[in-house]
Amino acid sequence: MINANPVITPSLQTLAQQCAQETQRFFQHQTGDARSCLELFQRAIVTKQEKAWEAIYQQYEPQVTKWVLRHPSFSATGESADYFVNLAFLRLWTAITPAKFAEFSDIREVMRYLQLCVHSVIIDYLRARPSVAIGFEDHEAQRILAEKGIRIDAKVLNKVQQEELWEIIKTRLQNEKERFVFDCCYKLDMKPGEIFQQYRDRFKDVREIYRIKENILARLRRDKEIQTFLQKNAGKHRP
Amino acid sequence: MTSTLSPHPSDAELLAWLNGDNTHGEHIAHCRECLTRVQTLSNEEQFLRINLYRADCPSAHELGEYKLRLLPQFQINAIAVHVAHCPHCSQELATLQEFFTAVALPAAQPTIAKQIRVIMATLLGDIRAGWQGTGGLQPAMAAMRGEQNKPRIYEAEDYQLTIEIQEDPENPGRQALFGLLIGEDAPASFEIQLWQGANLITQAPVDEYGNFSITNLVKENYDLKLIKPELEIRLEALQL
Repeated sequence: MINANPVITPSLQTLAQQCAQETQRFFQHQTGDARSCLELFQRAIVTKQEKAWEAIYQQYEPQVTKWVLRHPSFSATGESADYFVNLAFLRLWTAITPAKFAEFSDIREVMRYLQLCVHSVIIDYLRARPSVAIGFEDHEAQRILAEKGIRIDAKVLNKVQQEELWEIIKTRLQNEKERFVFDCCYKLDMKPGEIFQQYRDRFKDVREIYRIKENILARLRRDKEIQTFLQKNAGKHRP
Repeated sequence: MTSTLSPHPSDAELLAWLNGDNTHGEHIAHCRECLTRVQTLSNEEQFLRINLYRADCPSAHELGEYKLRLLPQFQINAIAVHVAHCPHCSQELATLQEFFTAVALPAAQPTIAKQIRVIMATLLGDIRAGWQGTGGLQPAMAAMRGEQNKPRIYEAEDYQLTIEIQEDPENPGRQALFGLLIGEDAPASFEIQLWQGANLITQAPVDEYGNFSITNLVKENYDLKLIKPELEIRLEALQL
């Protein structure tokens, strides 16, 4: 018997063509109806069809390139746009789960998420640059240390080692004030002057913050477990 | 060479010198012993900073999913507390907002209803556990800042509102209100208003990143309204 109402599943090629038209209409503000695009994403994300991913990449790569170029922090990276375009698609691929995809009701939300992927790969890149976290202000101390040939350097631990280090250090901080100063100085990279300016009612003066730092560093320097950890993981560097 | 100019500065004073305080600069610049201690302190500080910098911060992607409200509620609450204290994450959220504005997507399909909708903001529960659960920045911050001027976080459907009240440094005895609105693609379309009963006391714009502030406020109760065409977020009996 012939089925009078066969379920027709469009081919990937057909879907990709329809999606191209829908995308064009969407970005021309003509319509938000993009059922074929959603179906394409559905196949890529939920049923993990590699060809569907390829079609998505092909469809949206020019748009994602434009977004990368317009990101406020892109120029600070010094990288090519292509580099972030590929990373953004990779991020989309790894970050968007079928459950998350199920929350998107239209193509606008999917595009917003793809924009988020562009943003997060650029920010991750900038976060990973060690120079962001270190550096003197331009002042006398820097000049004198350079003149005397005194080099300041520190080994970067891997993520697991960093977590292990923090697990040890946090048990050595003796009270909330020490914890607060430590967090502000080393996790947020705030100068004592900035801390005092922002939390003036918590400290007698800025010297109190320096004394707390001094105590913390001296305690960590004397700590056998920390020294053992550093010898094992960070060579000659300490505290 | 050991300086004979003055006694050796303490480590605290050497740390201050590294941050630009030149009180003991003359001594330090000519004292080999002090310079050696400075090098040790600098290495220690750098080691800690480079390895623990932003250790408590959510990833850029998690922050973005927080903004798009794609995370479970407990995670949204924890990140909201973190963001209220972390200048770096606040900055990244501002950058994300700037990016979303620059690459604005076509508006969602218009709905037929055009009436002004009022949604009430409610205070979230005790969310001081902080991002990553196991301590990190927030508990210390919360304890240090005290209950009184701790940021309060409110929720109104898809919106989240962080309110912080401080003494107004420019107007002794008066209060300053600082806030952040999350969950809106175009926060600048909102205006903040403070009411007492039927009287509008003051109003101010919300910037493109969702920040707003009102200073020189008498320490009383107010009804706060965030208003844009078709929507009003209301927070009643806000105590300054």
